[in-house]
Amino acid sequence: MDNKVFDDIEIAPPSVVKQSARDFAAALAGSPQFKGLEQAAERFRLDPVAQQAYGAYQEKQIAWRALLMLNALSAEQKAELEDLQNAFVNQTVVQEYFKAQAEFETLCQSLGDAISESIGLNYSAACGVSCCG
Amino acid sequence: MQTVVAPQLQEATHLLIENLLASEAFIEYQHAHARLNADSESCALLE
Repeated sequence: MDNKVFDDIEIAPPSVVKQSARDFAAALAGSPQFKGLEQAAERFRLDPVAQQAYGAYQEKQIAWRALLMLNALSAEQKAELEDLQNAFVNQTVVQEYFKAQAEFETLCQSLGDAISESIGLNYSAACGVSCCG
Repeated sequence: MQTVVAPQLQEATHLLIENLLASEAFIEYQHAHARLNADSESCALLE
């Protein structure tokens, strides 16, 4: 692209670019996938059995953090932690939360791909903070 | 996994793309990219 072509492009003011980003964020927050994720998170928050299972798993993870990092759990400890993890992830509301999360991630990936393809740059990478940013 | 993008979100995404492409920062980037590509010495140094 030469300078002549650039000169013909009408530059969008920063306020317009920022507003379009805000509108995009609002539309994303209003998407069925995001609402589904919020609802699934709320169902999980309000489910006492799932909360208890989560708490028990998390408590043991914290207690055995050092052993986990050193990969030094005994066979019994590994089995106990695995049982607690299974009890947590097999809760219906947890399964529904993971499904809603995967659907929202797929949507975000699809939108990110569309933007990246259109602008010819990896959008998510370009938005990251670099060593100079 | 297939995903359905709501029309309002499609429109917002389209407008964001248009405005990103027309933003000053992006146009400056394209200018710099074009200048870099036109400079064979610089390109050779980067290879």
